[in-house]
Amino acid sequence: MNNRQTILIIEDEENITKLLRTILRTHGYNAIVATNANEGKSMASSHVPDLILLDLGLPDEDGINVIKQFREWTNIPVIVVSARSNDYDKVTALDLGADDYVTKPFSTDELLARIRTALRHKRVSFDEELKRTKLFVCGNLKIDFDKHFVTIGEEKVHLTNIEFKIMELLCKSSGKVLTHDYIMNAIWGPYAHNDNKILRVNMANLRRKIENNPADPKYIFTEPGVGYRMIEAD
Amino acid sequence: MWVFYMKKQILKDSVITISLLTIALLLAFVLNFYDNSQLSIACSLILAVLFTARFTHGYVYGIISSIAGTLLINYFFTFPYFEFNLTMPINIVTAIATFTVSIVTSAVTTQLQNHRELAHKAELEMMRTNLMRSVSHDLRTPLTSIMGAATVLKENDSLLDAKGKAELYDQINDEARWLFNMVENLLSVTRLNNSIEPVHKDCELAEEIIAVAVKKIQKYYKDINIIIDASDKMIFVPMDFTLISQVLINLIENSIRHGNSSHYIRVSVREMENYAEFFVEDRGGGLPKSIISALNSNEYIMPESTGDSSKYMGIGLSVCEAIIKSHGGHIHAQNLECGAKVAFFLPLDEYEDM
Repeated sequence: MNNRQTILIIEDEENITKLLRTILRTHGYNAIVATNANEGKSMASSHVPDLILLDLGLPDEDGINVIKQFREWTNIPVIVVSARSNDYDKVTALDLGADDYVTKPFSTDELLARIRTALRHKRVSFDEELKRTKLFVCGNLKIDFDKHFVTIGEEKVHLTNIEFKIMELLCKSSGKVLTHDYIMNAIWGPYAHNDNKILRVNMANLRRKIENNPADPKYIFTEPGVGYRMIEAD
Repeated sequence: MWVFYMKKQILKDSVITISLLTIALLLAFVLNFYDNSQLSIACSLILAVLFTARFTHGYVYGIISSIAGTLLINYFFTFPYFEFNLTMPINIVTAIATFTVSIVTSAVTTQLQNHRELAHKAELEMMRTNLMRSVSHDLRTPLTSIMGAATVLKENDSLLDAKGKAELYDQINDEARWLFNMVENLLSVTRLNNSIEPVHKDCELAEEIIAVAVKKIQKYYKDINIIIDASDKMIFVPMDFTLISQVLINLIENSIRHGNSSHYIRVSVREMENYAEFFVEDRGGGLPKSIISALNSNEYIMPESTGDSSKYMGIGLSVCEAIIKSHGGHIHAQNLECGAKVAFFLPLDEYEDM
C-alpha cells in the first residue's frame, strides 16, 4: 500500500484516458479508470478516490447527472474534463457541486494545477486555515481578515465593505472558479437582482484598486460566462 | 435578452411611425394654408408612408401608417372638416386613392428592404462556404506535418539527436495549436447562423475580454510581449463574448505568425462616441495591400487557398470580419510606418438603459 493519492478517471475516449493516466502517473498520482458512468459510480464508492476527473459526454448517462448523484453521498472533489465549451454546461456542473472544470483541449500544466488546488481544498478546509492564519498573501497582495486590512506592497488599499466581502469569498476558494450566481448569492443574498452587472462593476472597481493594470490582471481572473477565479495563495 | 431586443425594436418602429405621420400632418396643415387642393396633402401622406416603410421592419407599420393617415386626412382636410365622413363620393375616392397608393408604396419599399437583407445573407453564406472549403483544404498541411513528425519520431528514434527530436515535438505542438484555432474559428462561424438575426449580445466589460483573449494567447506563445492598454473608464460593450474574444485572438495571432512581431504587440480599447474601438497594433512586416483594401471596403474577404502563407491570414480575418459585421460594427486596417494596425468598432448604444 503506497500513500500516493488516487484519482479516478471517468472517461469513455480511450486516447484521452491513456493520456490522463500517463500524465497522472508521471506526476506521482495513482490513476484508476472507469469507461462509463455506471462503472464510475461503483468505483467511486468502492475505491473512495481522493479526486474524480469526470467527462460530461459519457455513453450511458450525462455527466451532469453523475455529479448530482455523487453529491448526494460524498464530497470527493470532482473536476469536469469536457469538450463542451458552452457556458451553460460549465455553470450547471459547477452549481451542482463540481469543484472545477477543464475544457478540452487542455494543457498538462493547467490540469495539474486544477488537481492540486482541488486536493488542497479537500485536505484543509480553507475556512479553518484562514481562521488559523487570518492572512492571505500572494505576491505583493496581503489581506488581513481580522483587521479588514488590504495592502499592495507597502501601500494600504481602501476597499468598500462589499469589495472586502468579495475578496474574502474569493480568497477562501483561491485557485477555484466561483460562479456569478454563487458570489451574488453569498454577497447580496438569494433575492438579489438577477442581473449580475452590480457584481461586475464591483469586480472592476476591485481590480482598479488591487491590480496594476485591470486589463492584465495578476490576482483575479475572469472566467468568461462563468465567474471569477482568484490566484492561489503563496 | 432576445425578448428585450424585440420590445425595443417595436418601440423604436412605433416612434418612427408616429413621428413621421405627425410631420406629414403638420406639413399638410401648412400646405393647406397656401393651397387648398387635396393633391399636396395626399403627397405628404404618401411621403410619410414611404419613409415609414423604409425605416421600420416588416409591412405592419407601413399599413398602419397608411390607414391612420387616410383617416386623419379625411378628418382634418376633407369637407366636412373635423369629422369623419365617408358618405360623400369625393371623399371616398380620395380615401381609396391615398390608401391604395400608400399601401403599394409601403409594400414595394418593404420588399426592397427584404431584398437587401437577402443579398447580405447570400454574401455571408458565400463567405461561409468558401471558408469551409478553404479550411478543409488547408487542414491537410498541418495534418501531414503532424502525422509525418510522429512517424519519424517512432521509426527513426535512434537516428535523431535531442535537438532534432525537440524540433519535431515543437512542430507537432505548433501545428496542433493552429488546428485548434481553426476549429474554434469554424465553431464561431457556425454560431453566426443567420445574418438577419442579430447575434446574442450581453453587456461585457471591454477590459475583461482583452484580458481573457491575451491570457489564452499567452498560454501558447509564452515569450511574446503584449502591451495591454485599456482605458481607466469601465466600458460595457454589448457583444457575444466568445465571438469577440475569437476576433482578438485571430488578430493577435496574425501579428505573431504573419507580422513576425513578437517584441511589440499592443492591444487597446477606448470609447469613441457611440462605439468602442478595439485595436491590435504590431511592429511587424505589415499587411498585404489586397487584404487592407478588402477589409476597408464593405466586402467580405473571400478566403481562398492560394498555397502561400497569407491564406491563413485571410481565413482568420474573414472570420473576424463576419463576426464584427454581425455585431453591427465595422473593421478597419492600415499599415503603419513599421507594422500594421487593425481596429474594430462595436456599437455601444443598444442597451443604454440597462
